[in-house]
Amino acid sequence: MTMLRDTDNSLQISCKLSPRRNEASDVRSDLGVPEHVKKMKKVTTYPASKAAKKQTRKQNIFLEGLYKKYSGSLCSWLRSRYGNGPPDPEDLAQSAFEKISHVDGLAEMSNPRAYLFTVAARNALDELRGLAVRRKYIHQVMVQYGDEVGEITPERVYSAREDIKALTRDIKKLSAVQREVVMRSRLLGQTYDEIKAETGWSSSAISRHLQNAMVIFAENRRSREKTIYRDDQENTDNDTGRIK
Amino acid sequence: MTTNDIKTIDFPASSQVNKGPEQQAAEWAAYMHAEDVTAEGRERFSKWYAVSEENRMAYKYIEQSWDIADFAIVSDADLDAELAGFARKKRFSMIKSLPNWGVAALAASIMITIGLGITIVQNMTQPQDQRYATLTGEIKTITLVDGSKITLAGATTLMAHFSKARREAELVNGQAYFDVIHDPSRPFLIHTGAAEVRVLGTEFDIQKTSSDVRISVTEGVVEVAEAPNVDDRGDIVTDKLQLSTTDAPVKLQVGEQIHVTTSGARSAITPFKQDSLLAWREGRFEYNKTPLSRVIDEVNRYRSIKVTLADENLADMPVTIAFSVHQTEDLFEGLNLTGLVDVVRTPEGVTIHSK
Repeated sequence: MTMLRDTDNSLQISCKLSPRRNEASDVRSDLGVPEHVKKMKKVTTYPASKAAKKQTRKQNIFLEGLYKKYSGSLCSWLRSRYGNGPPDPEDLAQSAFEKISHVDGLAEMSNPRAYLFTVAARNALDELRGLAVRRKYIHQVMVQYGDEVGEITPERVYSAREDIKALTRDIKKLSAVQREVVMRSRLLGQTYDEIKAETGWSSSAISRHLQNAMVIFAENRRSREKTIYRDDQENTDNDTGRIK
Repeated sequence: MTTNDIKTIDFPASSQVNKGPEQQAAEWAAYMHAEDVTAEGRERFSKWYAVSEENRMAYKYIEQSWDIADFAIVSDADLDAELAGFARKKRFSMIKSLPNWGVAALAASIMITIGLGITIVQNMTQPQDQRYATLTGEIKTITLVDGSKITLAGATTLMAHFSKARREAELVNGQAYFDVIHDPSRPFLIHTGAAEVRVLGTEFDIQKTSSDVRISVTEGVVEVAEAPNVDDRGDIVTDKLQLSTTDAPVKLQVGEQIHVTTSGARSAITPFKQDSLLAWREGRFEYNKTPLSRVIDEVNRYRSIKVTLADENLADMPVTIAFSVHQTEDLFEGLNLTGLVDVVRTPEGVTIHSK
């Protein structure tokens, strides 16, 4: 988890102290371009086209801005949810920045902060609970039948914008208990036993709430897809009607 | 947990004949995502998935929404704030489980000595915390189950815990005005920063900043004591416990105000102007020789573009000004007029420099 601190320690995000304006400016003057951004430039050794170069430059500037703006708050966010580590929140934040630096289309995203934080949360859960293995297994089973779920990427998040909005509404409509179980399970990676220990609810109740929430999400998603399909059909009919 | 353990929740039964594919899929998804999955469980899941197209379709819908659920939660300020509440519940239930001020320290030290973990305390107390929060710029009045009314200022988080024996709340951050219903049998206890505020029924304002907690009483009597010393992880620090048991609570009367710093030091009791202090509830800020750092702390709870002080020595600069919560820009105009500071706007925020 020290991939971004190879030569010196100057890139360390200071999590120990609350981020202050003057610290942020220190980071700026010391480093100019963050280490991981420099790395990206080195990696791109192909004779890139002008457009591609411009794209890389844009991405670098964007990343730099993202880093300045959110590195402090990301650390404290991770710390408040997953504790002081191990894994160190600082390392988790670093590797999240490292991860997103390799993906295209970041600058076009509607909510890069949420993307960054989600990637970091997944990192944390993978480190803490080995959830990556579990997810990988589910996905492997699904892929055998041609059903792809895959990792979240900016492209997917971008195209899923309406999905996310709709899902956010669904989550808000859940009962408080259902929502708590969903958040504990999905964002804090807690198992039934852990949720039980913190809330006092029985395992079967927790399982039931989780299932009910999942059924609600799935049913709403399915009906939305149907609505979109039906709307498309109606539009087509109208069009042909007009032509006639 | 190993496969040999007896578990209350096992993987879904292979014969789910009377359930539709949606319900079966949800059972599997809940198991695969939230349980300690066994090798046999995986095997059964993959078999179930292979059974029919209906099963696969049903599971796919769940998996797709589940996959972006974390993103949805983190994208939404309200949901993210709610999540923070669950993550920090551990700490709160620890504080809350302490019986009362006097024996709190004793109880805590006994707990530490005999090595009881947080988990056990939680199992005993079964927290039923209610969390209330406002967004930046939002002012909201809530009514608690006992009829007490609390007005939350912008960007404020409050946790409430009620039981037959006690009424308790924690002002996590921000500012709130409490109008507490009189109930001598159930004192109302508020934990915030390094202070503990105890009342029977009265009206008062609490403002929590990064450096202190300010308590201002507008009706009745309020007791303020130092909270048991709690570190980042919610553990009680023993060496400071002596202080909290020996320091008697201070009684505040109407029109009196006190500051408690993060280290627990209490200021002298001072008078304050009620109308100015409570103006925020009507959407106005009125400051009379208020330190600039405090003004900025409060203003930032109503602005998306945050204000910071570039120089430490500006923190104590006294400011006398009045403006609306919707026109916080007026503050900069006022500051510029003093000729003592420069207000610099950058894409990241507004910075105030001394000249």
